[in-house]
Amino acid sequence: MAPDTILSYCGMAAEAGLILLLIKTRVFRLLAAFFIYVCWSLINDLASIFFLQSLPVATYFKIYEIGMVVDSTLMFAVLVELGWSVLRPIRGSLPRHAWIGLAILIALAGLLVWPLAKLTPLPANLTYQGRDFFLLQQTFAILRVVVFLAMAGCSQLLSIGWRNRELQVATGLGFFSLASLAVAIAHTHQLPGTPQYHRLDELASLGYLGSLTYWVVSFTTKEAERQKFSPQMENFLLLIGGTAKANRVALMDIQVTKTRRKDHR
Amino acid sequence: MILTLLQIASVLGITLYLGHWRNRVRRRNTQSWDALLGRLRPDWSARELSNDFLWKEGVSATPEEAWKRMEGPRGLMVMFKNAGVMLEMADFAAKNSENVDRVILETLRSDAMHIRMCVLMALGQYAFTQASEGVRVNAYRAASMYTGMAARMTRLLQEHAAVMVPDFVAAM
Repeated sequence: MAPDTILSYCGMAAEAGLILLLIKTRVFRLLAAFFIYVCWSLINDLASIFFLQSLPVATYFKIYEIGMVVDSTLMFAVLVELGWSVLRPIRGSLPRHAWIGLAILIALAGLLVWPLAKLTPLPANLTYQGRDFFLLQQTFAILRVVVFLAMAGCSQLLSIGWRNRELQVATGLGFFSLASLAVAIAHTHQLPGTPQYHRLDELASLGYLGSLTYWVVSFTTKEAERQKFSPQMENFLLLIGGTAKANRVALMDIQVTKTRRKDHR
Repeated sequence: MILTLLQIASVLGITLYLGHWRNRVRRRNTQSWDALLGRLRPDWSARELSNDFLWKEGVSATPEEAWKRMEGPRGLMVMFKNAGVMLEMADFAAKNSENVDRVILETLRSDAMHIRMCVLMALGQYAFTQASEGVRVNAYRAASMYTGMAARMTRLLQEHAAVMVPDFVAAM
């Protein structure tokens, strides 16, 4: 059996296992877009095998292109969902529809990355369609990494915590994104159709399989048990957080007084 | 050739940073309450800002005086770090207890986040305009919230762990 076929079957088995685990652990409620993305990947992989055997190559590539657009859209939704769920601890202090702003920010980042991806040299001998396809792949590989960098940087700067499940999903996606980016960069130095070029594609698939395996293992493992949280600790927090509101009002007063003083001057 | 090397270096750099960040988040998710308390930074004391620091809330100084007493960016950095630890305390409570009042947690997070934002704004402004009025006002806002949190912490230790008070007062 060819390595491609082995990777493909292993990937589908891992995707099916992951879907079952996401349902069993009820993570699909928390990360619905991620769940839909994994379901879509499984359907896409199954359909690809069927279409590759039963359709002419030209028709197959048209369907593949449509699949690529759906895949990119779903990946975009996964990034927005992940970003939004990371902001959960501070959602109270954000406007209700702040997630739309987050989606616009990610879309804008994508728009900035597209011309950046165009700047990198393209592999030689690519058709016009192939170029667009390659650019789309590269744009999303860079965008995913940029979004993960931004999420990591912001959460570090603002000290926002990540829940274990979100961190696991982000780790898998981050690893897969870095593998895709490395392969996309290596591809720019090779000729399409050569064995080396194809081997790199296999490496990217191996990266995806690695992420799937990591997710399966992570979701099979039980979450760490809760630590002891005594009434004293609880009182400690109550006291620290207790007069925060009054403090903020007082601070706003200081600001208003200062502004008035400025106006008088 | 240079472009290729740059690309390899960037991918490697990003991988290292994300790996390091992930390990930090994982460690943060498993740390104990005692470890959290031990991470409060004692290398700058906010006692210069208030005559009754740790015992009463509020800053007994004008924004201009407060800026001098907090030793500029040094005091701001300590407040930034300690506010982060407060946020982690809120996360710890949210993760390990169902009985803690969610509104209080939300307020605590928001408070600590406000301190960090004020400090970041003050540090950002300081980098360009040195100690302008905007910098001093932001620093004053952060200091005011910070002294409030420290005073409440002392009161709590007095009530629930009086043995720890001398160590805590010395550390702060």
